[in-house]
Amino acid sequence: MTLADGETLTLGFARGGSFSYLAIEGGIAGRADVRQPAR
Amino acid sequence: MSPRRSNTTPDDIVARHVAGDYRVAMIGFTPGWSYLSGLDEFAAHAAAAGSAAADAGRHDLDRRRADRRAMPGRPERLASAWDGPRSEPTSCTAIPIFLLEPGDAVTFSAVDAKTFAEQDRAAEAGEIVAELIAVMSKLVISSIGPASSVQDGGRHGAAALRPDAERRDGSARAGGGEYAWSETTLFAAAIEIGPFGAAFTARGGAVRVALAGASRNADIAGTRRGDRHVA
Repeated sequence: MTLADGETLTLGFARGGSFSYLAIEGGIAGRADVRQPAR
Repeated sequence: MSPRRSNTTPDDIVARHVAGDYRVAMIGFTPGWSYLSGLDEFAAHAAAAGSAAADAGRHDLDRRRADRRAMPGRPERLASAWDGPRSEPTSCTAIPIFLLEPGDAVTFSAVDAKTFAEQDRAAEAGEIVAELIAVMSKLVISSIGPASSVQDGGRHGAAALRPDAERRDGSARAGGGEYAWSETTLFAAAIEIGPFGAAFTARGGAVRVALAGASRNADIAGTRRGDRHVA
């Protein structure tokens, strides 16, 4: 999904589990930190 | 920095400083004072060695003088391991303009003495002498609970949390899908969100994100976007 400039994504309490994972396209600090594990 | 004491030349110091890949790592307690990461290691050591104002390697060379004359966007002098162009005013009569935010990329340009003097005077007069090259979109964590973390190496080995391909692709084409968890995003940086709620705001442009893991209510700008179920 895409958040437009100024939009806020609000998440509620977790159900049926404890953790969620929010991946960010482009990575942290603007770097394309995309790595593939060794196969 | 003293070139003589650090056994180098002014040009070398300038070249090393300009070549740094700087990012605003954090903002200090004084709004607008930005601490940069990315200073060349040699330059950092040289700065520490030549700094009369060095304090555990954390203060820039001309801190006291800069503090007295700091104005928004003024050119900053070479600093130690934490480099710091500042953008905050020091007088209540000055207009508070904060140029930098955490995550911003900062580039220094080499200028001659005449240009520096001109920019210095302009900064003294309250002009912004820094140049905004591009606005980088950011995802601001507006709120988040305990047991959360940033996983900048991605979610290696977390494939079980990925939604099935049919839902992922169909949702994307229909435009109604709220989540996409592709091979790319699987290994992209992620924020692990603990059991409590959280809020994230895009700034400076659109930000694409993908959500997986525990089921929870999700909305954007007050519009319900469904929830996420563990695959």
